[in-house]
Amino acid sequence: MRSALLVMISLSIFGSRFSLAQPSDSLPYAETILQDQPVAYWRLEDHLFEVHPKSLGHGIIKPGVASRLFDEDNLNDASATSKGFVRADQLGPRPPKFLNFEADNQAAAFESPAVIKIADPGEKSPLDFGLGDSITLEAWVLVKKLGDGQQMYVVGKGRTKNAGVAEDNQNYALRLAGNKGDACVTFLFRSEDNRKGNQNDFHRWTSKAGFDIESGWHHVATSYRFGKPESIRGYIDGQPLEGEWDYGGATTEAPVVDDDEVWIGSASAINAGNSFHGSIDEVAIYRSALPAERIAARWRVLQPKPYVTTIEPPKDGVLVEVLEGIPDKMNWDFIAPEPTDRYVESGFALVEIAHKYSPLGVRADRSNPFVVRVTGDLKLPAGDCRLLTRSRSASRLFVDGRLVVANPFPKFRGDGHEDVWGLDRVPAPGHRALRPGDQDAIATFKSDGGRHRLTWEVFLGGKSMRPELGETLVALAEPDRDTFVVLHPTKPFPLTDDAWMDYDARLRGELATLNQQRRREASREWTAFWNKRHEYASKVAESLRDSNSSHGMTGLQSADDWSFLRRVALDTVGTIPTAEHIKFFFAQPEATRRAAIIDKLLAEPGYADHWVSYWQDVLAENPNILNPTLNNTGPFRWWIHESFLDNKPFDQFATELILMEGSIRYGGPGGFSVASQNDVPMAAKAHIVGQAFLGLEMKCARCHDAPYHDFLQRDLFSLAALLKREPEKVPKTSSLNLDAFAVRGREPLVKVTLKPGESVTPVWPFGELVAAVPDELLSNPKDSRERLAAFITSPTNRRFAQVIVNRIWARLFGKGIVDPVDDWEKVKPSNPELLESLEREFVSHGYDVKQLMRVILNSRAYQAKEVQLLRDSNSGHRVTGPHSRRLTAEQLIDSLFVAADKPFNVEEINIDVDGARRQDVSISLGHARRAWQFTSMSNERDRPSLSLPAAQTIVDLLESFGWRASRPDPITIRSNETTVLQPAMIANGVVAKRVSQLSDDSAFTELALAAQTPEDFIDSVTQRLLTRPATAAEQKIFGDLLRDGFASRIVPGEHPIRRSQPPRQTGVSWSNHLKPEANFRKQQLAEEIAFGDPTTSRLNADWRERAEDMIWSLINSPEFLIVP
Amino acid sequence: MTTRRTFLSQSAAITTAALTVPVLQADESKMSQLPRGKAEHCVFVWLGGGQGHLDTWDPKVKGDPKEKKPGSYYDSIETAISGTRVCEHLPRCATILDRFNILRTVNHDVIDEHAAATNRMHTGRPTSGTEQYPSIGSIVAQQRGTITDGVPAYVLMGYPNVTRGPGFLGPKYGYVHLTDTKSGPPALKRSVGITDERQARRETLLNAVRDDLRSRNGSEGIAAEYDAAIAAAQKLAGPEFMRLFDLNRESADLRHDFGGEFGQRCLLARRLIEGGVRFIEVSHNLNFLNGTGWDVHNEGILNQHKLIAELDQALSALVRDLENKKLLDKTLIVVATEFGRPAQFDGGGGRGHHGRCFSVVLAGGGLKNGITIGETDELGMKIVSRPVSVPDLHATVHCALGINPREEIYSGTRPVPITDEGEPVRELFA
Repeated sequence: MRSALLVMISLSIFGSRFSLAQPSDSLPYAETILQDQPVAYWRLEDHLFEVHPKSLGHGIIKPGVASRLFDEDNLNDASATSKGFVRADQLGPRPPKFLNFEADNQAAAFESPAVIKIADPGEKSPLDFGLGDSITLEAWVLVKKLGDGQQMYVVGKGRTKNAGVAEDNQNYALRLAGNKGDACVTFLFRSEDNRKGNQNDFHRWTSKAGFDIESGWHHVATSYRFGKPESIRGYIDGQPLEGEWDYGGATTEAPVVDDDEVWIGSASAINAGNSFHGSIDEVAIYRSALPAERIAARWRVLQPKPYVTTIEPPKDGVLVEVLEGIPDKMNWDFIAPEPTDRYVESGFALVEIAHKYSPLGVRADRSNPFVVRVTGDLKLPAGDCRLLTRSRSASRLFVDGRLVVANPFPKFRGDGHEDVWGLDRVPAPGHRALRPGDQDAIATFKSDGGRHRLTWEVFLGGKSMRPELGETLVALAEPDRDTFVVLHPTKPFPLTDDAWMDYDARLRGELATLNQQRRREASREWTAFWNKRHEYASKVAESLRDSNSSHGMTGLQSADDWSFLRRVALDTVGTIPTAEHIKFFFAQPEATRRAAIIDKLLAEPGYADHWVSYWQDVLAENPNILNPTLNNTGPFRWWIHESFLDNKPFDQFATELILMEGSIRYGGPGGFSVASQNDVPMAAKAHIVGQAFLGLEMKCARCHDAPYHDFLQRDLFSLAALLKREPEKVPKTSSLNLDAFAVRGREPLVKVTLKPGESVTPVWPFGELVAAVPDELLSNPKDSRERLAAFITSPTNRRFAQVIVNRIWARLFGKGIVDPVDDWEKVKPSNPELLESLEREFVSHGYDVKQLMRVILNSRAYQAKEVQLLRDSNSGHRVTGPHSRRLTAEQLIDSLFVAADKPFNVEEINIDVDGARRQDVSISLGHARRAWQFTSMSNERDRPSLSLPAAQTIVDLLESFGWRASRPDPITIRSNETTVLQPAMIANGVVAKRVSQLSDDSAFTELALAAQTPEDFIDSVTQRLLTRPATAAEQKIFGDLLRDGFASRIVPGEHPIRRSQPPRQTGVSWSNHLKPEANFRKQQLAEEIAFGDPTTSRLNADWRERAEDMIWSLINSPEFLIVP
Repeated sequence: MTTRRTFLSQSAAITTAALTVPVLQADESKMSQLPRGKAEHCVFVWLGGGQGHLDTWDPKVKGDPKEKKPGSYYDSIETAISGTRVCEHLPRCATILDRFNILRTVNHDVIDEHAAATNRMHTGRPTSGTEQYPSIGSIVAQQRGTITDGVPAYVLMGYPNVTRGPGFLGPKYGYVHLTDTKSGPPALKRSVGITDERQARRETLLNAVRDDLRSRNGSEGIAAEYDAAIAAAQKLAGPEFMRLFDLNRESADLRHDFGGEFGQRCLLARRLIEGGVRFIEVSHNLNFLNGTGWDVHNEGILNQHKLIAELDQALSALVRDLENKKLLDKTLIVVATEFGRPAQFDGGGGRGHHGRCFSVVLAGGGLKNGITIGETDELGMKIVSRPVSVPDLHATVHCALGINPREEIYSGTRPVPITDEGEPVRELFA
């Protein structure tokens, strides 16, 4: 098996990454500072904050060490206050990298706008600097954000806009200036004149060089003697810098001096534009210009050595290493860090990187940007080989350590007006063309014919772009050959469309397996925690009354085998049974075949697909591929999918959703935390969680106390506060103006007991469901989200398990034991004993959904003959067989394509295919394989260039059958009305056309070619579509149609013409969609798509069309739409 | 202990009974004061991208993009409404402007993203996370249905999207859409390459299969319900309705009067009205003319006049044609857009987004035409008098169509008034 190659290598520590042998003269940092006699020194340690910093707002900061250092007279009592988000419990510079710091050194984080204020002791204080005075300012800084051209304060005196002092009274300031991703050091002061409106009274010196933003801790310093412009010095990391007086010019004038405050982290009334964003540590002010060697003494740092791969790559694969935490700059100038991840893959062609999983086993984001390093040994043919690399962003290929070929860092494309992509860039005729947004380069390497070490580095993301690969590969043309072959230790393949598509599909399959393995590895401790919880849960379940009875299931007539098979396949894998299912089923002994097919179906991946669409609706999963502003979430569909693939215990599933950790945009439950353009996202989430897991319908409580429910608005906002981990305020928009009713002379039936602006505390409001949660259910009792999750999922909260088993029951039977399933307040179970029995089964088996389904699917009730919708009232505790249902939209689409065994072949669900937009405004939902993977096409702009014509044909059909392209609100039961558009859409639309067309990739074509007799063909097609043999009437109808010409239907000598593939690439993306050419290309494609799939030439056209019409009529039959 | 909750669930019978009572009792005497128009149809012309009111229906002093002097892009001209001027590229509408009403003070606060603003204008409500609200087209479809059997109530000529959809009303009140007048609606127009003969064969086969199913299954239940829908679908896709899409049945002169693809859409709208369709949204999205459609940032504005001229030709042709056919009083035309554009110019000489006031135009519909509503300041940036909120605009359209904008429609069991406290523009009703 190929997937055996994808082995995970656990990370081990390769000795120390730090070089040894450092000067022994290095003193503890504070001692170094004290030697230079600062007049003020703030260490910014947590314990020096008098009020605990976590209570932020207006903390008082003790001067700590600093107080001992001031001139003894007047500064001993100097204390500081903070405003805004400042907390001093953050990691400061620490060993092993920063040698002269304590291992527990702390620093203060500033979330802009925030400040620490230090009062000036008065006239002629040591903090005042006048003409002829020398000054040195220094600090350690860790910069999180700094815009281009932005100036942010580290420390300065004056220019506070405080009352009672002149404006612009800058005595001195050390600041950082943003310059294209760099932070430069600036020194600023204002002349004594301080003439209002005269900008030239400011004097600013700025260093030419800077350090990378978001590149860890740096030391910055400036020194100056007022009156001597040439005395200015600036330093970064102990090194002196060049610079110039770039504003107001150099001056011999005196600075403005008064009794204004010294501020750390901000200026100008705490203006956000001037405020520091990041962490600051060890701020000091000196009344001398420290010499360069003293500044250099601060920087006792061990630079890590660049990481070098020393692991041998496997012989039959390549080693993939992921390097994270590199600076967000579009260049290779960084010290390669130790990899955070390492695995083995098959070849030098990448379409996806294995996912990173958090300790909860949910998808987490890698740093943006990151680098992938691929290492492999390959024999290269002797002579001049041409090496081709393709990649989305920069990449570089080294052979035996020498750079051979590279792609540069791309230039960012504009917003709509760029040229449409050409589609003809190939290294030689017949090769796969370069895709939009990808780039390529070719270079020659002279090989001796032996094995060579290839090291290939690929850069992903950066500048908030999506870390996408496009089609990233290395290919080689042998000396004097024109054909490029993709490098692969075991299975090199030509760079052609067909070979690439095969490889792509295989690789994605392998990665799915690898990802599952990685999830399991990452979540070992979490799983152990849940195992413990389930031991506890099964004890609780034991205490429930055992009411295992027949639940009135006697006397039900069993459904016939064909109906049962169709029903159970649709209810488990979400599609009609395949030919293989039918074969398997009837090959089993009659007595056991039902149990056997149930086990088989439950083990298939389609089981997960089928559940995804259900939970997308219930949990209001609502991603948007373009500018999300419609109460959109992240695409946490991938987490739902992985959860059901892994058969995750359901209480764990609910808990992970509520914790909302992991990736927001790339498929973790973090995506659930988002609600774009919603001013109380957590209230929206509380509504979803309550309805999904507890059957509490609190929709109305968003804005007022629910008129027909017993919920107060406060209940919903309490849940919201638990999710928010702090009190939640009621915004104006979440309230009703009841006066409006009064004006119109109407009596409101609703009450508003919460006032807008009122703050609601995080407490569990539903004590009657569960009053307390045992400690063993919590891994972190302090986290209110986890507490909420535990209240909901505790086995002592019987409502949770009952709601979930009822949901499962209702999905299989078409009606719940409690109905409606998502609003339990006023309804009673139709069969309480059954509900309790299922609950017990569920809880004692560790909330195992699949196990519960197995029990239900094997029951006589489920296997009974279908019952039409009950017309009589719920009398007593009865159980009926399943209600016959219409296929859901997803079941319809998936079943159609399963019947023909064709892939969707639609465009990537992405309108930014070249990756030119930031990840917050465009995401890709990839290539859809099942119907749940679609979403709104988001063409509110009404532009042909932004349409996805092939995907649209499926979305149209999905929507007419009640699927929601957008899910701003949670629902369980969709509208299942029959509308005239439904049969019209199937009859005339492209989907049924493609499914009925006998193309070379259709299973029906194979049946037509293989059939011995017309009856044979009619029977096999009917089986495939309707899961039963053809009736006598059907044999007659279709026999009359197909008998004529049956014997001569096969055209001799014809071969399959073209493989099945997605629509051709148009070269249109958001970056060029405003070009007229972009519209024309998409319209042209839409016209092509209307023709459907190319038909086979292996069948006589006249006979083929008749056979297609037969298939068409069966697809359109009401019977195809029914779950029996 | 009886908690508040257990008490209520014990008295479930009472509360369940209450569910069947209208939730918010309306005061009949107040309700009766709402004007009630007589329009039967609505053509909702959508100018996607955000039409700049200064450059069309609310002209101001001329600006200069090079000098960054704010103001209109074009000169203005007089119209058939005394005192109301429009942009020089709207001459045909100007001469018959007495059949129109310009609402110059429509406003909202969602201008960052087209989709959100489009949603606001179509549903009349902000996104909330508790509901997907229905579009105005779906509400009209639900409230008034179709005029004749066998036609859809709501047809969309433009790309399908969520904001045009039925929301909580469900797919029954969704649209039949098309994106190209030549190809027709993909749901109804026969599949490309299927000949008459083949279509007939298909239907014969399907009907035989259906007969067989009915003989086995009886005529009740879901299958039978769907079977009935098939019959209705066959009728809908049949010649009677589909001939409406055949624009070749109109005279060449008339087709020429209407102009290009957008004009042909308007002509098709008139044919659909004659056929009994209730609500037709016609998107004017043709960004071929200037690259950006109405979203005239930067150089998109250079050819904006072509877009305006196209609108002028098609809209005036539609009004005149409806008038000739005595349909104008029965048909309310609404020309709407997601927001306006400011008087100032951007770095590329185009314009950004502006929502504090912008113009929506009405025509016909049995209203008191020839009145211009609302006044904006000297640069069209702020409202001076008579603001019209988005709910007010919706209430006006509903009242014109004889729909009570305060009536409640249901999302499950939750009552939702048709408009969010919208008040119709009463000046327009006789």
